[in-house]
Amino acid sequence: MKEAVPRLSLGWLLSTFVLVISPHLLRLPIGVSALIAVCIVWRVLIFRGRLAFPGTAVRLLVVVFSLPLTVLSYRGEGAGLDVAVCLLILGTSFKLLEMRRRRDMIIVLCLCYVLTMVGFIYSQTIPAALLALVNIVVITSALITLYRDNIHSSVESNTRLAVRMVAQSIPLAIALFVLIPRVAPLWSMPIPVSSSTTGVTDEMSPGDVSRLSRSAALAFRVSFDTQTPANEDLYWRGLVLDSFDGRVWRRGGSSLLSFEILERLRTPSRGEVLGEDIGYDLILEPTQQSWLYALQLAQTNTADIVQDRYYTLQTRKPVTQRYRYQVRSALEYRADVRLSGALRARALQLPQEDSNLRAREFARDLRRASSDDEGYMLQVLRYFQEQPFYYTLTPPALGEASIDEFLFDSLQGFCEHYASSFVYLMRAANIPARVVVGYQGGEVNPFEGYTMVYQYNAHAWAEVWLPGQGWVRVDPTAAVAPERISLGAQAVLANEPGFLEDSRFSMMRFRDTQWLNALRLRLDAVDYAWNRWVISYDETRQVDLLDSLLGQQLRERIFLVLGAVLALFFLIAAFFLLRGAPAQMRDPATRLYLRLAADLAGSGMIMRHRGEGPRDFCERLARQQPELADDMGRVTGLYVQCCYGREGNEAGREQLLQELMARIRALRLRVASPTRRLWLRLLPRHY
Amino acid sequence: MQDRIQAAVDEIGQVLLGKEQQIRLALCCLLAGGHLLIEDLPGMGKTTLAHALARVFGLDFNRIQFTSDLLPADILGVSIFDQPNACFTFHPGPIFSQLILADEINRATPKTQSALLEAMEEGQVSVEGETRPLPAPFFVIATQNPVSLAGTFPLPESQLDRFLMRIGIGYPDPKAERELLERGVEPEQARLVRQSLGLEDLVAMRKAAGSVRLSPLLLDYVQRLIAYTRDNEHFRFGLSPRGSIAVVRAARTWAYMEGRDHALPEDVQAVLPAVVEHRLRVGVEAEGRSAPALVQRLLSEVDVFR
Repeated sequence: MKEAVPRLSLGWLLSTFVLVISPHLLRLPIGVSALIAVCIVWRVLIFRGRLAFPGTAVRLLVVVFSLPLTVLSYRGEGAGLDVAVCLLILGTSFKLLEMRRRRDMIIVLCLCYVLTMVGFIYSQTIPAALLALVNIVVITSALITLYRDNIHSSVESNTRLAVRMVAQSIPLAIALFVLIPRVAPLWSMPIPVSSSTTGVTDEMSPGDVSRLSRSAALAFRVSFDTQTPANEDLYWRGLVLDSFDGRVWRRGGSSLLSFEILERLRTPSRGEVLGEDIGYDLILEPTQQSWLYALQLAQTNTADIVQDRYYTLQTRKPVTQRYRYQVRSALEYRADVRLSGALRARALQLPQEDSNLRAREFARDLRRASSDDEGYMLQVLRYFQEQPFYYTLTPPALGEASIDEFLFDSLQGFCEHYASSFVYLMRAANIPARVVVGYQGGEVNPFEGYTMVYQYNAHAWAEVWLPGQGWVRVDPTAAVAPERISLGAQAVLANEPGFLEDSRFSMMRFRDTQWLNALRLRLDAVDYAWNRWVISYDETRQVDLLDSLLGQQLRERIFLVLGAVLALFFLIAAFFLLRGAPAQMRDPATRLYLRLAADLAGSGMIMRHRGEGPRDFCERLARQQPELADDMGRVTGLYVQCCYGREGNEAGREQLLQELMARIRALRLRVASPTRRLWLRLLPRHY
Repeated sequence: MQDRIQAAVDEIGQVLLGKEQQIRLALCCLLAGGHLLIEDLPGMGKTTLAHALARVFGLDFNRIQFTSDLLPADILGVSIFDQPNACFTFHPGPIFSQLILADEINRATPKTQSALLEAMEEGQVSVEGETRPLPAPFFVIATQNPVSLAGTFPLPESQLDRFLMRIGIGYPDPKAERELLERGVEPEQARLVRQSLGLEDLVAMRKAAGSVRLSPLLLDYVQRLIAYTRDNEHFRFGLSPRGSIAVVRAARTWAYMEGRDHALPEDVQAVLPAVVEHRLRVGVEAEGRSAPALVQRLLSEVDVFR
């Protein structure tokens, strides 16, 4: 029964375990959850004496079957990480059934710490961090119960101690977080993601953008180095779509090139910066796509980002976690003053089998009536403005000739309808044009001064190439519903039936209640700060921070100094630990006497027991090694007299000590090993 | 002086065969001025040892057989109305004696036990509002049977603490047993023990033992032992300061009996089991182990030198 499992500790441990795995339960297959529950109940029944510990056969059976079953239940998902986490949790629950002694409980609790860390793979938000903190407190107090007997152990006092310990360790954790060198991971984890919020896709058909407006999910957050530009300047370009098949707009040409090829090509941007550029810092929510959002005309010098011929930005890997990048954009620019043949051909492409005959005719007539391309463009925009076009989230469905039906029959549409038909009309008049999808506008958070861009800010607009001006951004939506651009989607769409339909419980719906809205903005500001300072704290930011705190010179040395201090600390600790003896032994006679004992042990003659007094030791030695009996007897006599005997005068004591030293030395020379003997001769007499 | 101690040991050894260590411990306890508790099964020679000890010192000796109906007045004495003189006269009880043999002390009720134990601690008794001093050397040798506990009142820790030592006697070794069997039972054999030490010897020895040197190194060792009992989870609670003083006192006397003017770790080790075993309780962690086993562990775990 020794070191049996204490009742209080078991209760703590089981509740700790449940708490720690609870965030994982949603992801686990139902069978695994059931198995875990069985393990817990079984352990409780063992404690109550209803069941026995499972035998070797049962344990073997469970392990042998649960392993393939787990892998099978994840079949098809191909996520190795989920399987690994599931197996870890299962293994921990099986360990519950083997938990006989305190040592086992400590193992389970250590596994609980690991499981808490595993939680961060799935979520790195503030609530997740707070939950982890709570978990750590609970696990720690469970550990404390293990080291306290039932008399001194109460839930309250253990928790108090655990909170104190965790609170004390937080400053250290922060210091380590800031200071420990950040090394890029050797391998990256295949992060499982939910595909529900991917934002803008690389295809646009009628209804795609309006679908996004149902969601109040965050797309990205931006903070500008200087003043935030006006809402109507915030056209966050995502992708350029220039291939139209009559219904769907797709990417084409070089925008389909992969990152590696683009990186190899890496041609200098052919855009011309006219005015001041503005810098901003963007944190993109996971999109599962590799393109990034930026204002035209974007420049970046991040190694992981390239720009293609369409001035869109692409990153090396799909954005599966929050991704932070810095861009500078010139809002006044000229792009592609000379248009290459291939690009021009792409920008003029129209469907091969086109049924939008009315639109073609309309374009032909209108072009004939206008003096030049720009005049034609303004005519088209005026058409949008003057006809009773209606900007709505729920336009009627369109048939085969979607452009015709929209332009001349229904007159109801969302931005993709306008952008699509506008570009069509441009191309029909032989003017290069293309569709751009991305986000428009954003909401400034008044507390922190950054801009939040939501999925409902998704937008589609057009770019038209005009001779001498290059690509010019034209937003037909602005002609129909100017307030959409100046005030934002929120202001225009708030009363639309479909708006935010997918986010019924989003706080966004309550933005008319002032305090709730303020709360929403505050929470978002906190979350933003968390992402900016904690989640995206990497090597570069660490170096920047340390530079600003310490200056470059000091920073370069701080790791050296820190490392040296740590190394020294561990060396000293190791020295005292390995030496095995406390440093307080100052009595020279005892020190020598113990060295003699060590030599005797080293020579294999006799080992002094810890609790053996000098006379007992001497007697035992005399029995085992009679030839040493006389010498040892004399040494022991002198030692006893020296250390335990009556205090004589100083001189007498000194003389006694000298004699003892001489005798011990002589005896050690007799018994020590050859190397040790050499040391003895080399070292001073009192060694 | 050591010769006379040895003589006394030999004298008692004649009636308690092959138990020199126990006899020495018992003598050590009395020389250190402490009370002795002998705990063993019936028929192991508890009473014989107590008798012999009393006789070897030539002390004025009373034996009290404790039973469950024994009252404090039966021990302390009682005042009885004296008809001719028309006043109460105090009739002292058996406790007014230099050496008390309290046989089977755990058979008496707590009330009676505490009457005795109070006297042990204070060296005086209070009867009917009057404090009466007990004779100058005042020893109690109590015996108890640890096994048949039915109808007994085990002494609580606070009262066990009053005994300097608790010793067991144990079975005799085969040689001693053989001699015992050959000689046969002689009920009055303790009477054969001759007095070999006197009251003045006792005083002188106690004084001499008090001046035995305790070197700093030795006191360090004792402190390590005590600290171990207090920190180690195998003990339910550690040794009290009274207990640690007792260890040192007994070790000094032991060293003196060995003929030394200084105490050695071996002296501490010799007396430690007898002095501390009854003061310690086995902790939850060490359930099932006996206190003697724990004290052995204590002795082997604590380093003598560091």
